[in-house]
Amino acid sequence: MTTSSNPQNQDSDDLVRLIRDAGDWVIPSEQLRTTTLQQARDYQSDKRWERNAFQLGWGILVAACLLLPVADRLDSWMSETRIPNSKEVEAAALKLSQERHQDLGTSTSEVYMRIREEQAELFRTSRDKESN
Amino acid sequence: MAVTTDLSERVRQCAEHIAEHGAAALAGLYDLTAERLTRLAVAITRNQHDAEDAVQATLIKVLANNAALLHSKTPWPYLLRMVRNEALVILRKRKKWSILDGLSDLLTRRNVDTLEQEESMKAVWTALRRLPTDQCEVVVLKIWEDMTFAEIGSTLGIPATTAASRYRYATLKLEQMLRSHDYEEVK
Repeated sequence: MTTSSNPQNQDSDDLVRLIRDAGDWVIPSEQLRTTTLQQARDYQSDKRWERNAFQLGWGILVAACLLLPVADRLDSWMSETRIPNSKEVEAAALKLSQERHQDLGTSTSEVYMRIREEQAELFRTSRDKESN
Repeated sequence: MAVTTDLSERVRQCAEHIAEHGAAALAGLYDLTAERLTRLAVAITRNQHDAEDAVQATLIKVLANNAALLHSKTPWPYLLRMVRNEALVILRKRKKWSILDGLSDLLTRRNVDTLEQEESMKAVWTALRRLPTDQCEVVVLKIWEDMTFAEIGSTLGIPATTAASRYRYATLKLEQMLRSHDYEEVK
């Protein structure tokens, strides 16, 4: 700051000095530092958690996308190669016996025979596909 | 000018530390700037609690996006602008009736030698609080931050000539207010 002989400038210099001192007079509270740094740490750990959750979400999504065709193929293969259970065999045998007016034992063995043939056909086709 | 440049360089160094070490390095920036930022925010909000909220919000924002501060050409004025914006947001949100009349919210240094000096500090702060915000912030940046009118202009987004005229009006008003304060005291 320049000192001046002019009384008006002197007043102005005094005013500036007074305001400057008043600026140094006010200070932040003691807890401001602690709370600010704590809030900063909380913010950073929240961000880290968010980032991890986001990455996990993406990981699950990518895994699901990769597994979907595999699961679909597995499902279709399982439904193709599935052997009917006893209730289904019984129902099919009953239907056959009613259609052909024959006893249930014959129909049951016929149904079993048909299932075996279907299975054999399925395995034959898949083997042919693989060899080709 | 030199003060601003030197502070800008130190603020940039702090921003680099924050980019490298995260929240742990924020203490450096806090220790360097908190007092200055707080007094600017107090001058704008006219309340110490609100001012500290503004400073805290600003420093958390620096942590969240320190690239802006790091790549700023003038990091110190940029930081001042950030705290000013936060303070103005708080000022706009605050109800008019909640503005305190006295200086009871202020936290002050205890090394003031005499009662007379403390009285003059109080008189200056009371006078500053009576100034319009746009004039008060120019006084703060000019006198407390040693900025040129061009720097003040770029910090506040106004022409340098406007900053200069606001400063002139403000100092005239302050002079009048402080004179009348002295007069009342003598009486």
